[in-house]
Amino acid sequence: MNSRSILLNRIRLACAGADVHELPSQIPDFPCYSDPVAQFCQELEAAGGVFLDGRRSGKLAENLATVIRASDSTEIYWESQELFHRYGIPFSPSKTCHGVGDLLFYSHHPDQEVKFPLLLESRPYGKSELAASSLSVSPARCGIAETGTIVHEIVPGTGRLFSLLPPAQLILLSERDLIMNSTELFEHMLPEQRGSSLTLITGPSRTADVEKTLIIGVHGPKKMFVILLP
Amino acid sequence: MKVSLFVTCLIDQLFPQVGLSTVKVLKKCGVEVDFDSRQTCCGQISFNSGYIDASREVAEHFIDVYAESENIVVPSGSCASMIKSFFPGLFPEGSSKRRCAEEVGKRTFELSYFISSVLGIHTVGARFPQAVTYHDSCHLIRELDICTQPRQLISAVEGVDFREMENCDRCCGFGGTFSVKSPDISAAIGDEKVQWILETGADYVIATDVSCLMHIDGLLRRNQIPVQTMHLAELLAQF
Amino acid sequence: MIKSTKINRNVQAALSDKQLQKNLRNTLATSLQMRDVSVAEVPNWDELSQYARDVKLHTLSRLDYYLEMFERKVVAQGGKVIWAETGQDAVDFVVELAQERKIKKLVKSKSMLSEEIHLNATLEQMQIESIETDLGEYIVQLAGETPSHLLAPALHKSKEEIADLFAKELGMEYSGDVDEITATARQVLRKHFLDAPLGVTGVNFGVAETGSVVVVENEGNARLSVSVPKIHIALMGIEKVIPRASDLAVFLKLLIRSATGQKITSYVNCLNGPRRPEELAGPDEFYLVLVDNGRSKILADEFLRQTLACIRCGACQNVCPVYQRIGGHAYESTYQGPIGAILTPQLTSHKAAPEHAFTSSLCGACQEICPVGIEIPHILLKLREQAQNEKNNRASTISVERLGIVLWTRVMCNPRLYVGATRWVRRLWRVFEKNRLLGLVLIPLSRWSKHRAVPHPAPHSFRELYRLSEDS
Repeated sequence: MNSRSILLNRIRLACAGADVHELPSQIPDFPCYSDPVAQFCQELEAAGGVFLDGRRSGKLAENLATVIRASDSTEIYWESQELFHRYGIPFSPSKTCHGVGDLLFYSHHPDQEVKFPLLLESRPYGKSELAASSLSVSPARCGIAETGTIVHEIVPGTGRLFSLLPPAQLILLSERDLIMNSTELFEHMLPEQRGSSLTLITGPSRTADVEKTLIIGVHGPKKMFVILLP
Repeated sequence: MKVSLFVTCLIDQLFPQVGLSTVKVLKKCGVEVDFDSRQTCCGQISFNSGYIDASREVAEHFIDVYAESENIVVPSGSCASMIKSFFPGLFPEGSSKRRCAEEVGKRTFELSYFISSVLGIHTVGARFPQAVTYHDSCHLIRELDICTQPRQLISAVEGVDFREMENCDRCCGFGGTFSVKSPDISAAIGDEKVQWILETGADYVIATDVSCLMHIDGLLRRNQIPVQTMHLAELLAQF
Repeated sequence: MIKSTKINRNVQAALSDKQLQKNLRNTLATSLQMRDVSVAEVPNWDELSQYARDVKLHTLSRLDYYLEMFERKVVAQGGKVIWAETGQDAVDFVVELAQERKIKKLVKSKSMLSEEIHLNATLEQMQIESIETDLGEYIVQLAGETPSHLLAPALHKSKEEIADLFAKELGMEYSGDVDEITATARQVLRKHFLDAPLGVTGVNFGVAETGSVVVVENEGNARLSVSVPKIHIALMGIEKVIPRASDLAVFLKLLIRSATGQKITSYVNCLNGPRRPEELAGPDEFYLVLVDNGRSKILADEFLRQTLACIRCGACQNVCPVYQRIGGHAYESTYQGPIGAILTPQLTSHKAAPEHAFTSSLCGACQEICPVGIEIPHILLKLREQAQNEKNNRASTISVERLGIVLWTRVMCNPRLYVGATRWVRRLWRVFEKNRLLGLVLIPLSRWSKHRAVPHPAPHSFRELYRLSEDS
């Protein structure tokens, strides 16, 4: 008999004869908000994240510039070309920018200004290039108002390292994708998830392991920005 | 109303004045008090040490003694919880002894709960113009969920200056045989309790259990701290 | 011969360790306060708690069913599932895989299970470098110690001690600045993350419905451990499985608020197997190791089974008066404080952990704070009963304590004997008290009187005085 059947048999034997404890079906209430954006913003900032409202037209370029300056970078690394379509960001690929394969898409902002359309370039990359980069931009599958959380999922053409290695991360969140609490995420989105990873992110990386002193930025990104889009 | 007093072994042997105060207070409340001298102990000491057969025998004796009692009043949260919460579990489910244990449990009341919630009496007319603080004993507050009753009774004492201590519901460190099995930890926990008592500036610390009070008093006296311990019954008997 | 852990022999050292006492006082009080504030914000906390408890008890009562469901999902997503009967089996799997792939280094994120099965010790013997990446765990590993709290492994260390350690072990210039200490750790560990071929993590929840392995963290080290290396091994106790993804909403809220007082941690990783072919980065291989190591034994008792409902939030440690005084290391076991007191003797044996169930005042604060309502004090009582029965069956002679209890029972069941015996005890007591012999004669009293004044026995018992007062 292999370990699997030995173990399962042990468990069956241990559970045999006892009644099955009933599984509750009704999940207790989770909070809803009259102004979910305000709630989201408040909680995100309480967790050390930076919230930028880019819902009005023309705001996005300004917000991006703010993020570039705050993260002290001159380049933005974009998770995929799909981002531009999804959020309607005007861009024009340079000649070297092919749309396929393991390519890193980035735009240059030497004077820390942002003008549309973005001139997009690309190059092949590995983990060391990512680790040396300064600012990543990824889309949010959804945002959770209750806790100021964004949900980032890995989809085809993206990978787990992209939003993790650079010291600053920016997440674009559409107001349409803002949900009240995590129940919808776990009831529907996680079961339907096809990629290998889905991460709830709330603020930058942190620790309090030394004398309970809160330190922002230990292993993951030290800065975390969210721009809310229409 | 008639009540049968279960005075507990500790009070019987070490703190008889607490028992006398209990009788005095109950009589003042207008109830008829009966003391059955066949009573001994609730068996908590053996129960908490894992000797279940011994506890069962002692519980059976208790149940015999109080088989006919209408109401059983106990001036101790931990003994009352032994009877109410733990006696039934000593006997097999569905047995007649278990039913008897459950019945006895239903008729058993801790003193402050009995006065406050059964009799509905909020003041017994005591007068005690001193600064006092109150320690919630663990079994009283967490097994029996009795928290407001002792406070109401203390607050109603004339002239009393009632000061809540920080962490009033934190354990004093006694813990029955724990106090002698792990004396260093037990005393270290108690030392912190003593600090919280001292911070209130109270002259008396009140509790519903002589076991906690004996432990706290031992620490106070060993450290020559002039705060006095007092059972709730003794406070209420100040008239 | 089984090495038995003792607690009381470590107490003196713990109580006189000023740094430990200071850290315990500060850290635990802060944690408790943050937890209380955070829990008070949730109006239906008790309802959530009951829900989670019911889900756990249900799952445990059908554990085989949910584990098989979980396994199917994990396999369907391209993961491999390993069933480990013992801790050694789990360790062997990790070591053999590492040897087979010629792996010399792995990065590890916090896992109490890996501590329980002593994974690092074996890896070290096999000359496989295992790097702890949670800052607290890293500190503890550098110091050659073990964690002293479920959530704050380096709770017992001051920042000065840590600064010394970093200066000595990492050649960092001495700095008591926590920011600098953290920055150094980031720098050193980042290198390891980038070149380690294997990442090992624990699991907070395994979702049967979706095959998701959920890892909750703040630092991002678990994220890195499951993202950079080409292989990810998740070590999971069989009790960590939950039926549905929707249950996570409840469990995360209870776990995180109880543990740190946060509303949510920086990262909650829901991992569904290895990277898909069209994904750019992430592990190519994913192994889930399901570990029994004594858990199925606990499952067999319907009452004690709830021990396995624990979600390792650490709140019971923070609130426990015993843990608050002696800290974690005094327990000499992986799991410490109230949860350790009930888990350790059950995972090992009463013989191996003879003091765990007894070193508690049974105050019940742990049960009150437990987000899944584990009846810790009642479990302790049941374990004490088991321990005494076992001891009695083992021993050929009767112990002094048991003999005492037998005599005591005879006295307590016989009112006449009670009156006679207690009268003699009080008389002797007074004699010894006068002659200051008290402590020497009776062991329980000597232990009492070590720190506390002994009560004066009353000259007359209540029953004597009562009879007098009724007669008059």
